[in-house]
Amino acid sequence: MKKLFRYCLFVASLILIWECLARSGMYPEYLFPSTGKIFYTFIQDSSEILLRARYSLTLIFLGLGSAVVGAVILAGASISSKMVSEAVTTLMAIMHPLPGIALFPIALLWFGIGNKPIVIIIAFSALWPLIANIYNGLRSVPVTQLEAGKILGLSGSRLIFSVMIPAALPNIITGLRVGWARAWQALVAAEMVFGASGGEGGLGWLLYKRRFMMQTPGVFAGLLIIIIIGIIMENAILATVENQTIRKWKTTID
Amino acid sequence: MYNKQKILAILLGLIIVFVILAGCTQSKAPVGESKVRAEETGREKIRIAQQFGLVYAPLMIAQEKGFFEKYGLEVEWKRFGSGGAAREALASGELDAAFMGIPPFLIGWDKGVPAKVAVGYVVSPVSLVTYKSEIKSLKDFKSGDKIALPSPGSMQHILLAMAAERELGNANAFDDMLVALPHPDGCSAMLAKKDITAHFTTPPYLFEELSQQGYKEVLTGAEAFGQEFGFNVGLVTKEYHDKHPRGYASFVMGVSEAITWINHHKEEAAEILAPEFNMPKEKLYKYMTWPGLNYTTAPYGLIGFAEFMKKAGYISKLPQDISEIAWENISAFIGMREGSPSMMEQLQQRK
Amino acid sequence: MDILLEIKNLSKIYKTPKKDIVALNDINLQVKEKEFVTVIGPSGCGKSTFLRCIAGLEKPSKGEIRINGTCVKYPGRDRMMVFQGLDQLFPWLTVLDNITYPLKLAKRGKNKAERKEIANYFLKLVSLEGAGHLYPYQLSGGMKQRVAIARALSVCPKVLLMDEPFGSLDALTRDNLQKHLIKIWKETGVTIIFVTHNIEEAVILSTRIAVFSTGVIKEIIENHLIWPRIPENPSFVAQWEKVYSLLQDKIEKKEITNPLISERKVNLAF
Repeated sequence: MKKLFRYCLFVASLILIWECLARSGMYPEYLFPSTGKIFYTFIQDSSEILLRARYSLTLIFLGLGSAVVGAVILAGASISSKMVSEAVTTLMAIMHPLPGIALFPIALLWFGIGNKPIVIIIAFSALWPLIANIYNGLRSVPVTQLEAGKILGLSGSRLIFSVMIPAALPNIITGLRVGWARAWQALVAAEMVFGASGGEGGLGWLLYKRRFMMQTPGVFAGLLIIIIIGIIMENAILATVENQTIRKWKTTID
Repeated sequence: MYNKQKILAILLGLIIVFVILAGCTQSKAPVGESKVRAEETGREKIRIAQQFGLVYAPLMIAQEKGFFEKYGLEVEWKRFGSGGAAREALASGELDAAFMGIPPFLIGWDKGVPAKVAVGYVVSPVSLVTYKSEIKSLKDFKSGDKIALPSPGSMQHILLAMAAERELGNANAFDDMLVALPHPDGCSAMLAKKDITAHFTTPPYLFEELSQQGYKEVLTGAEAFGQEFGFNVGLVTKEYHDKHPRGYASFVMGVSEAITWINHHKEEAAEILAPEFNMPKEKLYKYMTWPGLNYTTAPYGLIGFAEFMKKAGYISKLPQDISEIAWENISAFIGMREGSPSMMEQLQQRK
Repeated sequence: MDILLEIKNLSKIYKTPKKDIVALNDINLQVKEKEFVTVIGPSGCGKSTFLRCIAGLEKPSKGEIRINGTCVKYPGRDRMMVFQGLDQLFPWLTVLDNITYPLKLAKRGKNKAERKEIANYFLKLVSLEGAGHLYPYQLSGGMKQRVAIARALSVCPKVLLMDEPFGSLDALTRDNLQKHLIKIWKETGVTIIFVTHNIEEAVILSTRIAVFSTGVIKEIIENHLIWPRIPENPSFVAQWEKVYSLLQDKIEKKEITNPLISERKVNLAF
């Protein structure tokens, strides 16, 4: 409770400093809008903002979802075959440092204009940290638990899903956290590089549009929803998953 | 007790950081810097934005031929990918002069970016092109069709809205069909007949597309606006205009001389610029002599855009008279005729 | 009594680039039903490999393992194993679920409730009734090993393989668990093969002691001391010394023949 209070106090003081600076008249509104103006824009634009947020979230879950499936398959294959493992490790060394957004021109060429290249860039950005973490997690499953599973008659995919994945969950959650962050960055960046279209388009497109219309308070309102989604994802969703799993089982060090 | 101290420390730290940040931005302000330099060298210095495209030919020629230097102006060229980026640089004090379409300028002016039109620059063909034979007018676009243009709030966006209002009675009729694409990407998508059905674009991409079999103009800029309009205008910031009158005058003269030169030496200009545009000089010459292209410092359509954009909600206010959005040389050039408006004044309106 | 487990000419050779390491060399052993056999020897003598071969976790290089006459090659629920490690329970399952999960795999019990009943029976057998709702991290080392035993027994294996299960516990807990194990063995009549390097443990627990020495069974000692076995009894001491001398003898010999491993502790852990 005390922590929450401190948290609020900190945020409030940040807002206060912001407001003082905005009101000092040092900067024009198109550079530094007041918090009141930002919140006002946020409320006024909320229907569009929520629509865009929903759109972005759909894209991200498509991209992140396929990245998770791909990562589980590739990491699982790497664990079972040395050859696959070497291939995946090499591929990872090449692809992991590559920002997904850098591939955007190629993705546009290959998959055309629209959501497809964005989803693919999201999946690409999230895939490598996910594989790295899942693979590490699977490799660090205690041998005894693995053998206990084998003794109980598990093998192949049942061993992976019933023993290895729950045991690797701390790493998998770390992977999800990194993957989510990379996916989110890729999404906003991709939508800002190439805006998508007026009817559709997510939060990146919202920022892009507001930028070109010089609606700086609108840009900040867009940032606000991005921050809010980030906080919800981290504190409400990932933290709950952790509390229900690895924290409950004490398989992680807090 | 301990916690309170910690919070106080954090707050103090933050304040210090902000003050330092604020201080930095201030010290980065362009004025002092260039003023000192001007006094030291007796020469004026100016930072000009340059984007890509055929319409920038006069600026490139000025650079090549030293037309600004002739008037004692030292130019720092800054490259930008789009007018939007140039406008942001103008707003943050990174630039003294920039060239952009009238609508992006008006959006900036509406938000308080302190810059006004210093020179007209170019009247250029700009058209909506399609390869679909069944699309003959704006009415033939169906949902699912996609129209590419450079960005929201761009010249092309506003022209499309004008035409949509005129022909369909709804300025936002196409908003759900718009795709924001830089000119080259839009052009390659058009040539591949992939993803988009139409492209609102400018030379040389416009010429490129129109030279293809079956590609045609659905709408020209002049049809949308009602008459000719300036495709680009040159802006100078208030800061620079007020504190560097000599520099300002030199800038206007440099642009004027470059435009005059290019209008009289298109063949030579094509030869000089062919490597820059990476195309054969014959092709470039053909583009530079395309009917409708007019390099001129005269402004066209300033008020017409403002009135439409105010009505359609893109800007919140109207300039009361031309001097609100243009510096003295331009407003003097247009003049203020007593009684009914003059020809020059009429040229600022839509028809 | 019938012969339950038969090991014939079992060899295990690890191939390395430099040379082949012989872990097990032509081992033969027959275990009858309800027997309690301990396998004793110093570390590196192959006793764990031997147990893992029976479990199916290691593939024999030669020879065969038969249970009731049937050759076994893979892990199976007829041979359950309890490991030394205190992390063999699944930390994401409660104690109860750690037992009901194998039951489900073994298709024992018609439904959840029935499996829960069976699991509770085995928890009671290891005196852990009421601990079913706890997660493994909440258990002490001894409790964890008891749950592991309950888990192994719950699927009714033909033979229970135990690989130094008390090796990571303190002396008091170990005493306690040994008594527990004897009780469980007597109650369930399960056949046990128990690997240890502790002579006292071997003498206390088993009916036969197989003394291992670098990949071969040196001698099998019948151990029919009366219960309860008290280490201070002369007959216990005599049995202890018998095993001790066998191991000692082996080590001395080894020191002569193989100076490479002379740094190995002569003093065996007990």
